[in-house]
Amino acid sequence: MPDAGGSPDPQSFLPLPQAQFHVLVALTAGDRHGYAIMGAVEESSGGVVRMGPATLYGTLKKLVARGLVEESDRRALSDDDERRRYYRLTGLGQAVCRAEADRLSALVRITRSNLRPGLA
Amino acid sequence: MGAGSAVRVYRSLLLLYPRDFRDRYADDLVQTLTDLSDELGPRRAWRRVALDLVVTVPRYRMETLMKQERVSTLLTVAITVMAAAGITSVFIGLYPGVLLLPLAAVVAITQRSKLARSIDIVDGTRLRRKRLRTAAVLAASLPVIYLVSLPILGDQWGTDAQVAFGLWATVLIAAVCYFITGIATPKSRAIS
Repeated sequence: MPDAGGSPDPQSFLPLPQAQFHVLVALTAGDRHGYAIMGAVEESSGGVVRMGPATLYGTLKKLVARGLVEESDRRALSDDDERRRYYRLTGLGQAVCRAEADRLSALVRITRSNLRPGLA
Repeated sequence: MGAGSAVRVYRSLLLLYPRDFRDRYADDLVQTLTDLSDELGPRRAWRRVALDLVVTVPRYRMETLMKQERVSTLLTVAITVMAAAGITSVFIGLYPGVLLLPLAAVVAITQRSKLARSIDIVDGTRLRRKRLRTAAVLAASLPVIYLVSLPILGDQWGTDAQVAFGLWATVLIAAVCYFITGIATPKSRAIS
């Protein structure tokens, strides 16, 4: 829902689907092309999340449509394919990513607190 | 399979995706397959891509099908067909078919927000008024058509009478369709 300034409220995007959150997290490190995002997602999830190409680009399409990610002007290095498209977080994307991280962090806190060793 | 053949096969398989998706991302998808093949080897790359295809093709097709505008169009067509079939059934003697009329009205009223979501952005109030006005004009023309065609409606069911009846029925169907879509179009929300 837009706030008084007209920009959407990051909370209104939550909870984010897992694939979208992973892609946003991968882009927090900077502009990346599709394959680099795939690699970063796999690495950050400890190999648990392995995206296929269409899953990745379908997710990027949705994130671009929601205004959380945009294509970057950055082009590939000379030894790489120049046609590669790079993506980056928008300001809203950063805010939504932070809000989702806070939400998950609160959940983790509650879970840890409830499942403290010796309470079971 | 050589790298060139693999790309050709994958490009062919990309035809399974909705057009807007493949128009936008086909080159990126092929590039990613090439990258995966370089890193994992062709066999593992294809395993991942095949699984991805199986999961995403039906999902993206379904998402495209269920896009708001398409749902609105499908609903409008369904309502119009039900209304037209309901009216026609009376004239051809299939009287239970008249039940399609209230059914069309129920669908139109219960689904009015879905029907109008896409057009609401433009100007729902204006469109609603226009549709209801068209329905009123068509309905008003029904007795006129009847009166004009009275002289040719004799005891014999001739060609002229059939043409007149066909015209009358068409105008009636159109009036009902415009009325249903008119009442199904909610007014634009007031901008505060």
